[in-house]
Amino acid sequence: MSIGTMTSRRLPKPSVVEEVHVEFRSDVEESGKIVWGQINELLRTSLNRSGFRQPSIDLIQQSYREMERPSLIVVARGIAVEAGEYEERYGSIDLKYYQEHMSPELFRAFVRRIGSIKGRPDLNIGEFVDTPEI
Amino acid sequence: MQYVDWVQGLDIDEPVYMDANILVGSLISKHPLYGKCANVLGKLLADKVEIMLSVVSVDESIWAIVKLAYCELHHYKPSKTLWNANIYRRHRDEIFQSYESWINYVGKAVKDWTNAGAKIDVVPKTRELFEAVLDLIPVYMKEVKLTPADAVHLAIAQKHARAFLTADSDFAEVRQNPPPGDLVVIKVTA
Repeated sequence: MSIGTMTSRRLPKPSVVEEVHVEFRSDVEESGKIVWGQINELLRTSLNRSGFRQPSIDLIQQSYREMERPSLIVVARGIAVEAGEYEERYGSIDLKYYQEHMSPELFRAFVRRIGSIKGRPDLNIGEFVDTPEI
Repeated sequence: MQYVDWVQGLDIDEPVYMDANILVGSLISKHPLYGKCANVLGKLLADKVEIMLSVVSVDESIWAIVKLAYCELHHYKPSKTLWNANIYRRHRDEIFQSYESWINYVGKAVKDWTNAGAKIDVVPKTRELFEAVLDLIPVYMKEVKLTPADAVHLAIAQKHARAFLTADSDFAEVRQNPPPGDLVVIKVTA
């Protein structure tokens, strides 16, 4: 029987963190959400017990919503669009004048419909609307 | 009849008959005329001007959007794409599958604006006016060298409106050879 010599080797010291935030997002629909919710809850509980305090579910859901929703610009009551779409649809439109001179209902209907089709820049609109030969 | 180019601040007498290209131009955001068409329309709506449309305007607007949808589906350039009823029939199902919402936009826009208080009428309004329009169509086809659809637009405008808003350069003949009447043809250009 041989006795091996024990050697001590210094293991790398774990890095110290003050906060750990675990996020899991599923790319599956409702059925997957339940499973991911359970996994998430297990991990959160475990981390909480280890001293890593986890934010509340509400805060996580809020941060998801903020991540998923880019900043929107309100054009009229109930109508908000992303900055790029705002520039494309309303950048050349004198919205201030129309808002001052239209009823709120008409202004809303106007901005809701103008530029609602993206289309292409190379249309010849004069010829484009001709009824084709039957 | 007169023919003028639209400029910002131009006084437009009402009622105004609107060609399909102005209606479509105000719906398609990437079109070079979009800003002008939408601003002309916005000014008319803000000034509570009486606007007139015909079923021909609606028909042409929807055709334009259907063609645009077809070009989007196949990544074609609209200006270089052959388009006719047979092509439409062959591709109708896939067009509706992907772009039905676009096809609904013309009707939804007109109904939304009207329900919100815009004064939008459909013409011809009466049988007498319709008959007068029928008489003018061949005259404009011959004398102003217009296609039947364009002659219908001009005849309806002449019999119902003080101004005819269009982006179609085919009406330029009116500038050279104006037919009788008080109508002002206003051309919106890029």
